[in-house]
Amino acid sequence: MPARLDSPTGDYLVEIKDQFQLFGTIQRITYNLDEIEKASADFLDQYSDIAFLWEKDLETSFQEFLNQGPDLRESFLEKLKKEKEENKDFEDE
Amino acid sequence: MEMEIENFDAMSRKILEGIVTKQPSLEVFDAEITRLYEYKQRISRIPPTADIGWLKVNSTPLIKELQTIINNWIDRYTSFLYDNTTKQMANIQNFVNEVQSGIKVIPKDLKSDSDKQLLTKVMTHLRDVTQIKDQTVERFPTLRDTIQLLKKHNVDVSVSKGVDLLVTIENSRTSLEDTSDNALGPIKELILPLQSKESDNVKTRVRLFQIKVLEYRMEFQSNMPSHKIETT
Repeated sequence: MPARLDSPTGDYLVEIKDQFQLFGTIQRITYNLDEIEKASADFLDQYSDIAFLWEKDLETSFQEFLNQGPDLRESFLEKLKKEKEENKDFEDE
Repeated sequence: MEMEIENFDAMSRKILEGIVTKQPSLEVFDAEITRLYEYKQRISRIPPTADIGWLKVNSTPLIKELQTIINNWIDRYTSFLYDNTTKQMANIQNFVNEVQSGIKVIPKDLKSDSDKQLLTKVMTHLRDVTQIKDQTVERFPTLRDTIQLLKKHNVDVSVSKGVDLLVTIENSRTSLEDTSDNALGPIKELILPLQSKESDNVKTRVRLFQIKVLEYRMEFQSNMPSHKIETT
């Protein structure tokens, strides 16, 4: 219900309390606005999974991505260790 | 095992200088770039205008901006791979050039100090080749796979004048192997007599120094203020 323009408080309920047609129209408008709000949210939702593109800083994200990986030297040491263990197993057999 | 680690570190100092060594595998890069391309395709399929009740949404500026952002992200991933690969290629080429020029002149004998210095320099290059070559050769498949991945994602991998980077990688590998074969083959054979001669020289110098130390010790013991006297 819209707020009164001729006084700081209150609404127009007293004036329209008997006008059912108007009530019906207000209800339809409210319903349509809700539907538009829902449809707009769905429309925006199609971009939600790519929100990181504008929410995150590219350089920071890329550095985080790089840090996921192992260091070349560490990988090399692991590979060596594995090879040594395999050789030991082979010798034991 | 220690020797292999030492060789890897030697290779790192020369070939991996200025290279980012902490990074996910190429499969992870591929998945990430593919994911970004999929987003790009999906965005391009979004209709430029949409009617939502009484609203008419014009998505064109948003779609355009998103395409630009995604292109920047794709470019960050692909340019990283490209730069890291070309830098490694440049390091390998620098190493090959350094060795080639370092073993070009070999001392004929060891008469002067400059001859000895030259021999040490050549020997240093041969040691570098021994330490670095195998580890570097092992890096070539990764370099090739990186370029293949970039090609898959339509990145221009030509170096200059239409020369494909894959060809450059192959040439680099051949150049490294040829230089290594030359250094550890004929050059090593050529310096071997000088090397053993210098080794003998060093041994002689060590012996002479030992004698000098012994003589000094004896002199010191006999002439010092409270010297030792043999008594019967």
